[in-house]
Amino acid sequence: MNRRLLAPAGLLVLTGLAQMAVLVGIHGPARVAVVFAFLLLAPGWPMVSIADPPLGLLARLGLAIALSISLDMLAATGLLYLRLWSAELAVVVMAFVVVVGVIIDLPPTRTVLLRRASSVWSALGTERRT
Amino acid sequence: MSIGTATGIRPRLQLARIEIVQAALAVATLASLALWAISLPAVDVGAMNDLGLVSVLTPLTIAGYVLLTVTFAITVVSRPAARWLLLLQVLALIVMLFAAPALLESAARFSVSWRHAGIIEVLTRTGRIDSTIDAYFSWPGFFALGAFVTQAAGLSSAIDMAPWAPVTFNLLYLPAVVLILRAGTADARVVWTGTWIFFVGNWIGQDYFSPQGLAYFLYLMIIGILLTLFRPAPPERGWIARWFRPWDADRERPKLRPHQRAALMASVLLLFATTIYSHQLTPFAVVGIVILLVIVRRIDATGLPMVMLVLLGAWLSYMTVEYLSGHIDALISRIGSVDSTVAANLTDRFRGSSLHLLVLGVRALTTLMIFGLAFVGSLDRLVQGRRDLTWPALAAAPFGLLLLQDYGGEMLLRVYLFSLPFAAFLAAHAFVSVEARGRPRHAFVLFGILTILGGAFLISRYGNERMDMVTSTEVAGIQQLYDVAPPDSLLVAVSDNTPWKFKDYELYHYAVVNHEARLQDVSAIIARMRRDPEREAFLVISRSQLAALELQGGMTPAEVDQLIDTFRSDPRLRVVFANPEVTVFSTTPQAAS
Repeated sequence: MNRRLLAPAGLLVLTGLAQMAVLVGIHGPARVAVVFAFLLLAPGWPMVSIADPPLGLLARLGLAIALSISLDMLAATGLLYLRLWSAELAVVVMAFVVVVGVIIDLPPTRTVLLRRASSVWSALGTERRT
Repeated sequence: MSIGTATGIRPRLQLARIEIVQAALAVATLASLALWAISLPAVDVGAMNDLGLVSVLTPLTIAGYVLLTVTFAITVVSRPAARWLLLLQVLALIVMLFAAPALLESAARFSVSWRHAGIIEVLTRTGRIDSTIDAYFSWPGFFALGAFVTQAAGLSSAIDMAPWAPVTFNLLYLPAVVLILRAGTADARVVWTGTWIFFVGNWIGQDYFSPQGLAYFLYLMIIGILLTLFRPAPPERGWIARWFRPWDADRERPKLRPHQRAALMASVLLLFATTIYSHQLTPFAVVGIVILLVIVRRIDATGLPMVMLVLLGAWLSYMTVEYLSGHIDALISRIGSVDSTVAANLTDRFRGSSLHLLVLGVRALTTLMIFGLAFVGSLDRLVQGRRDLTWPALAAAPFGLLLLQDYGGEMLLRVYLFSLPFAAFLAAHAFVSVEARGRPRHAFVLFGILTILGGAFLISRYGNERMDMVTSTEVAGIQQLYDVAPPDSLLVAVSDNTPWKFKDYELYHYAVVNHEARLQDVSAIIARMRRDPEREAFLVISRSQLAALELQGGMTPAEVDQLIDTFRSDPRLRVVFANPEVTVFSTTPQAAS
């Protein structure tokens, strides 16, 4: 498998496992481990991968965890304010975030989006100059 | 041929020697961890005195800490610096410093953790955020996250996570602290010594199961990202160029493409927004630091402070109205009262038993030692021609928070925490200057000071452990209280150091009669219980409350025993439940008369 696809594939597997553990209602240490790994890493990792900051692995990991926690918290707080609270729904929302992040980060999508973004950026620059 | 062989063999021999030394240091690191781990079963936390956990640690446990400090000191001065080994040693340090209570004690320590678990229980039970309950519900982020994790992981209560919160939070701080320190120097010795000082200096214990523990991680990460990735070209002229010139001003700056910059700025804003709705104080500390970084041109995102202030203002204006409308006068009146803030944070705290006063003294000395080393490091940098006052300014900036309010007598502790990474960075520089005078001496000095700081950490951090510790017997007793007391009852304690409020948080009324208890005024306590005759009232006395009365309230064990005897013999009170660590009283009809 292409090394570039290893991380997205791993994230999708982790997302699937977490969904299964929560939605099927598996109990025990395996669920705790899978859910913690998913919530701590999966939502933020694609964001770090998209930003691709010139940082070492330790810092990237820290940033991915910080972003994951922020996104988890945002989803949970939002559902509570909207009175739609359910942990299962929150997990599904986070899975959606991960899948969207992974898709954006995949090389073909990424190339297209970057091309579009840079054309918008140059258009904005031209507009500002005129 | 012979020359070629000789020159080839020598580097290989040197490499082999380095590998052997590193392997030996790695083994010593693991041995220190093993020593610590095997010594723990012999520790009897029930025998603790007012010096805290350190009074019951065995010589083997202490030997584990000392061995780890020795191996770290040797690794730091070795050439080349083995970063993997330094990382391993810091990881071992975090485990040894912060995991001991989780392994030694039968329930999650620190009564406030139980309250936080109770707030999470409200959210999971009701499925909504009711900001009329109290201030916690106007900054609900951490608790919402706690509700999410608890239910998704299938835990029976959020309190299951609490014992491991300090280790987890400190592991999270590690990459952020290293990132911040690397923004200030390329010298691995400074980075890792500073990281070590950061953890042995983190004695204030705000990394428990709390919003501030998590928000602090985001604070560190925001500053790390900004310092590392948003650097402008340093100015060539003016006072900023003279006094705030970065060490790597002549090196190439990291080049970010527009999409990278946009994604990273969005990340910073997301992290900042998370601090806004999860903790009252942290966003102010972040904004203060970011404003300073913009002023001294260490970040090029000049509009960032304004965006942050708008986000913060929006949350405070719209989402915390319930809380602010009732407290705005009190909050505003305390702005600028530095004298009362210092009194609440320092002088008012220096009371309690003689051993507790010793603990307080060690805390003060540890703090002064770290800031003293930071001062020496700052001077050394100046002497060496590094005119970069950014780091001293960053270390000093959080003191501005003292102008806001006393924060329940805790502001000075929070200020210390916010300035710790920068103070640790500067303190690490103090060691590097020593190294110029010879490596063996450097290792010796480094080992000496880090050992003192490590010992001081154990006393400072766990000096209150006799009252911070919660036992399973105590929790069972408080659980019994909730079984006996119907909702809407008034629950009264002689100290707020009680592991209560972990269930049906909003359904009970609570009162703390600490002052009356210290005066042994039982009639006043009963009067408080009977203030509303229609409401049932229960007085709960627990082991950790009594420890708090002795440790912080200045009562002697004899006075505490006398207080309990008075409660037991008073005809206006009757015991409804008792176990070895908890007694629950209710009032008798005589109390009404």
